[in-house]
Amino acid sequence: MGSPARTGRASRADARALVLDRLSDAMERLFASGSTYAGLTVEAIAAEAGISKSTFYFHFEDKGALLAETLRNVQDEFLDTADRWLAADFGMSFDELGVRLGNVVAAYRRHRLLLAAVVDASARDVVVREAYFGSIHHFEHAAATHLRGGHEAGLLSAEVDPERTAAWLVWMLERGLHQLVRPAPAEDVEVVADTLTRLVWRAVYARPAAG
Amino acid sequence: MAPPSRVGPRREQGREKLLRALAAVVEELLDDGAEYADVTVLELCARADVSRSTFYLHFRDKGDLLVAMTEDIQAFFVDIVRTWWEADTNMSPEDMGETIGLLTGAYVTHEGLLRAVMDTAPYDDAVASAFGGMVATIRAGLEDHVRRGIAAGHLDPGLDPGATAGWLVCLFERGLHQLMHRADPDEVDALTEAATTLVWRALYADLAAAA
Repeated sequence: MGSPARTGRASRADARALVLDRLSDAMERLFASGSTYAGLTVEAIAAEAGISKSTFYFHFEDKGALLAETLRNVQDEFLDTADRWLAADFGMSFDELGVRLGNVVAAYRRHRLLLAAVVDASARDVVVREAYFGSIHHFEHAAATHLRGGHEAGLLSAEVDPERTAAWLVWMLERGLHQLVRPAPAEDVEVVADTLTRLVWRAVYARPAAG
Repeated sequence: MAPPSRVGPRREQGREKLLRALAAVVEELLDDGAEYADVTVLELCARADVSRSTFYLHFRDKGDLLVAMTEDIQAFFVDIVRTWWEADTNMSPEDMGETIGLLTGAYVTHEGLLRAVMDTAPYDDAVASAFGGMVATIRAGLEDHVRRGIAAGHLDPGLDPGATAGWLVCLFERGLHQLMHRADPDEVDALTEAATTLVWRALYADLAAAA
């Protein structure tokens, strides 16, 4: 295992990861029981996670730092579904697009309480906002690359501007996940996702009608 | 609006005058890069050369003032979208471009106040309710438009009218807020064109069947 110094660092990193997991789960539980991000205190999160406040502050500067880091983990999962859509071949079928966008919507639904808290917090907390906007820009960039791939393959209509169309679509998706998917009753999520698929399909993937 | 029994014509006139004076001060501050959240009533009153008691005679707080200052602008946005939702559902790309050009143009003209509304809405009930009312009106109008379009055979019957209207509102609500900020006139034109192509294809274009 190497020198004692290295072991020390590794075990501190392990301990931190463990604490982060417990705190993240505690935060999601608190959101699920109706807490808002603004109303959460470090004390309440630590108590829910069963750790002391001093342990919290040993690892994290404040509530915003915890949220930013939790968010990175959740967003990795969420962005992974988005990446799988945008890294796919542009020549995908309507049904394939439906599955991929369905996965994006489902990943958002799974973590909607946390992700909604992030949207709220990003209005005021700089650390959270930067992490959040960073992921949006990553998403915008991936979408633009995907659309340019469509042009190169001769599958995307020349009139579609890849960068700006990607930007509009990503912000539509960002807002729609928050405003439409998050509050929707479970039985309505599919309609919202299906309509999204059809709008995106028509906007970029569909070919002109023959004749 | 306050009940007429309490507010005589003179006081109403006084309010109008005060509103204009304060609006000029606010727009100037926002143009200089100030955030509405950071501006105090004290500062507004000093710059407009009115007393705080006069301010509070007419406005409950800064949020109330913001609602009053943006009433006309929000009504103007509804009117622009109304020409869209009341239009024939067999819309040409040119007509679509004209409507979206009016929207982006109006947004750019009133950006400071509209940003203030969107930034303030998450934590000011009066602002949120005024903004939410505008969004709900637009959404209902577009939903009706999509429903008529499907009935007339112009729009894809796979689109759910309510969900389609919801996604369109999200596209503009968030897209205008995020993309128009600091965009130069050429960029505004390019974004307008990209949104026009996107929405026209998504709703009206004659495209090959999805399957």
